[in-house]
Amino acid sequence: MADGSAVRAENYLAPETLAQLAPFELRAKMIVEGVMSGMHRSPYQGMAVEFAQHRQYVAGDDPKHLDWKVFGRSDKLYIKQYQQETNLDVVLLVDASSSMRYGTLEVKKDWGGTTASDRVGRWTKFDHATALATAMSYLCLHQQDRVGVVVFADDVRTLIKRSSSQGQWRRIVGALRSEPVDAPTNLAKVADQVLGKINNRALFIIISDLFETPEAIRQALARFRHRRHDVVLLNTLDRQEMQFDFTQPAPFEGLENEGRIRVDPRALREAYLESLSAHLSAVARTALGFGFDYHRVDTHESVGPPLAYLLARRSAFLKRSKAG
Amino acid sequence: MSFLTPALAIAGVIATAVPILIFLLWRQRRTPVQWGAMRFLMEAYRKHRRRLRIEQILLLAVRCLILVVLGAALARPLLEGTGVLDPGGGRVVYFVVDDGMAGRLEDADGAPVLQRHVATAREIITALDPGDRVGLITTARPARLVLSPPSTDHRAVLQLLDGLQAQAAPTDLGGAVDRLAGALGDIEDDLDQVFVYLLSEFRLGSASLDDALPASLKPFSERVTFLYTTPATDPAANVQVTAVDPARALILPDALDGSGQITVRLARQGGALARDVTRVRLEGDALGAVEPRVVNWAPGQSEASCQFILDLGAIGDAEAGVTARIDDDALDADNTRHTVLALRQQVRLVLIDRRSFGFEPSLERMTSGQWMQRTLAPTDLAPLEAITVEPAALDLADLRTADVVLLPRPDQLADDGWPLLRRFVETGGLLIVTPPEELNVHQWTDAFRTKLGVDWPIAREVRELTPPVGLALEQPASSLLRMISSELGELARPVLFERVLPVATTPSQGEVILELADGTPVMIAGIPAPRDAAGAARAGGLVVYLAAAPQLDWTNLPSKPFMVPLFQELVRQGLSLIRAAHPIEVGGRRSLLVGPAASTLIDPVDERIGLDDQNRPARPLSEAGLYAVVDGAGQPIGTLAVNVDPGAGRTDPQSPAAVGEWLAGAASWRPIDPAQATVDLERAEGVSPLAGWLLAALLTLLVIELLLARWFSHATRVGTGGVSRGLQGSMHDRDVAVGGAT
Repeated sequence: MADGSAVRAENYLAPETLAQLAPFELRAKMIVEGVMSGMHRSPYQGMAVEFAQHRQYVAGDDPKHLDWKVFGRSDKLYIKQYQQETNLDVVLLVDASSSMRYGTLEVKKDWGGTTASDRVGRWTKFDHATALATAMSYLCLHQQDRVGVVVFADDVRTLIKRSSSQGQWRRIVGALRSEPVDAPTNLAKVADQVLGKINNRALFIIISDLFETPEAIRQALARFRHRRHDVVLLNTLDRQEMQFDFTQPAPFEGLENEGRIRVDPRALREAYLESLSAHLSAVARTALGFGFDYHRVDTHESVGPPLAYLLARRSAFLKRSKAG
Repeated sequence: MSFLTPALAIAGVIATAVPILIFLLWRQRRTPVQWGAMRFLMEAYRKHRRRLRIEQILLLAVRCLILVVLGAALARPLLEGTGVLDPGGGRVVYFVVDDGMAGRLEDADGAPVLQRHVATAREIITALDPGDRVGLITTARPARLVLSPPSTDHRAVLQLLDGLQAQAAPTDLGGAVDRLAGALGDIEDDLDQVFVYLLSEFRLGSASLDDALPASLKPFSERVTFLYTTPATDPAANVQVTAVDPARALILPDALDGSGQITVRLARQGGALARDVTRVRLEGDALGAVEPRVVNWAPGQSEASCQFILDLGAIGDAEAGVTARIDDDALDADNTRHTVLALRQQVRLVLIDRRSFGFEPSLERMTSGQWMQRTLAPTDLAPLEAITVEPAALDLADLRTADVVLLPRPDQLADDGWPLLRRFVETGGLLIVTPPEELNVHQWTDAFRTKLGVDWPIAREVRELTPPVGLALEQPASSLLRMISSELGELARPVLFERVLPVATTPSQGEVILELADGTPVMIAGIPAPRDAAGAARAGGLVVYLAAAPQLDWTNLPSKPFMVPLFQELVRQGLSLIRAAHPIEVGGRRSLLVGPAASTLIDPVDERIGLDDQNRPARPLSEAGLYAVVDGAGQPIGTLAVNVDPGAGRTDPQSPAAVGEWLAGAASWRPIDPAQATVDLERAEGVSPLAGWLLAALLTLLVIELLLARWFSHATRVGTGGVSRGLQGSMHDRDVAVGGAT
């Protein structure tokens, strides 16, 4: 089992993936509370490394933080404030609901898929989600961030607590080797369960096909927002789900027990794509409305480019925030 | 609409099951696709389910229709009533072929005329295009639509033509014209391309120029091309037996009055009518050997007769067929003629009179009924079986077996008695009516006129003749008293009438048998007016009215010698005339006087022909000869003689100009030379119009199916702009703005 995990971990971190990620640093868009020293800004401004701003002295402030030079020039009392560099808590939420079993890309040798993809010979959405999660966790651990993983469907199925220890990445890989369960997604419930165990602010990366209703997704994201967490939504979809270019009439059977219908896909393609597009737009608007990131990920594309794209967008955002 | 190959049309209908089966099998056999984004697919499906179902049904219907139309087109449909579907692209040719008796006339080579007509028709059909349609009408009575609506199957038409045989029935060009008009009425959209060929020699037997053709073709005269073969001009010698007349058709056993005499009448036509000899034979199973007669035709002589005297004792109590036959000539159908002689041991007579009891009355007190009964049956050996029926008690059973009814007391007849008598007369009975001697005012005459259907204006009051008036010495020539006509003057001379109940005016119906010296009719014979069309064909008996009661208060006739021969002849000749008054001709189908028990006829070639409830044969009688009449048990109960119409065998040629003028009265007929019959057949393009239309419809349906299938599959919209391209990942951020682009 251990050998198998080791082999799969290497496969997940394909050189191609790491090469595309290397030029970037993972930075949180928002200031995240950290307990370890790192490259991330700390919400606790104090005496440490970098000066941030002056603030007028009020009763109760520690007099040792007074800036005496300012007092000498202006005869007014000001307190010196500093920003502290902290490390980041990252929680990866990986959807393992039934619908994540879907995939159409043929699995190639040494891709490092899951047990599910090995069985069907197709690169499923769950495979892609676990690949993304693994890459992300490796990157975070490399930066001394604490990383935790939650595998969920209608509730939390597997939970790996946050840690930056050396064995954490292997534990994460072991957790992600599971298979999707026969249950639909219930993100709001999962959010409640996860947020109940996390006190400090963290970056949540939700990797899911998000086939819940936009309202349910909004309710889940609202919980994160209420606790002032940062969220990145990686909406993982198979290319066939986004293209729907079947050519032959066939019965379609839902993976989450929605039933079976016989349709001519060509006749329904337009309406289907409109419905899906409306849903994705609604989800994207909801995420952006909360100030979260939303990215749609095509499972037929490699893991690297979406991650690189994500990190670049976050870096740019943070730089603009700092400048402004 | 009919099909030349109905099996292909049926196959087309059955083939509609193929797309349905494919549709059903597709639903059964597909492996389901496991689909993650089912929520959106379901949503799209719910939104468009109704439209998709309609599209599926529409497409399936179009595909089924394609197969049906394909089958129908391959089956080569024939449209009976041409409508908007028929563009009139093909020609329609109707042949009206004279297959009447004149068609049997043989030429010098022994080939019948009908063969020439068939050859002409063959030549025309050969010149037609495959899509042209051909119909066929024959003129032998009754004229028949042999092939209508017209067919494009020329081979079948040729087979029909080859199967035609000239009939013994006369040519009925009028009936054929009416049939043709009916057929043309069904194809009026095509009239410009319709050609009618009337194939006949128009000899006197085929076309009676004195009788105008029906005007039913007038509406088509402007557009349809009517053509007829040039009338024959060459004379054809033909001798025919025109009549076989027995002196009496009903013969009673004590007849020593020349009843066994049979007269055979001949006629001849054609050419110069040179001196010639014709041998006449009389044949019959019951006759034995009869010496033939020889008729020596003088130059120019066209009619002749010869007589045979038969030994009637050999016939027995039965009906015997007698056939007169002459030598073969150019037209054999009219070389024989048949008749039936009936020898009856007794005639059944019903006297409708009040019964008298007691002693035999004196001559002065004898009633009319007693005088008539005594006259007809003077002894017990007389061949008359007389029964007396009370006038008020008359019923159908009394009349069922009667031959003659005497009615001296019409005033006492019950109301339902008159209809019984009328039915008796209609079925071939002889009714003799005299006024009741005791009345001065006769109200029964109203019932006589209205209920019996004899429209004779009989006076209501007796006319006293003072002084008495005798019978005219010159009596009208009547068929009833034909046998005693030579002695009629002498017999009538002593007869005087003191009272009469005369017919006011000379009636239009009926024949005056006897009249007074002052011209007043005292005896009239006639047939009741028909109650309906069926009755017209059925009325076969005879009513005789004597205007004076045969009683000494009215006339001295009972005491004069004329009384016995008068009433004997009334009965004997009356019954004979009734039998002879209804000759049965080939081609006819009218009610027959065969009695109520008859159920079937057996023709000369032993084919059985059923009779309906009005004694009409189930089909026209097509053969001349002696027909046996059998009852329901198959027992023979009589014989019928069926003969050809002598007029139909008239072979005299008629003037082509006269024929042309006669035909022009019905439509715009143009003569053609049979050798160049196809010249007038103008060329017209096109194949079977309906098949062509169906093929065009099939092509249209195929295009529609193609478009519908493509449209309903929505294949044209895949890969074009908009959402139809499908969605992409965030690396292609054109679909949805993603990331922190705030």
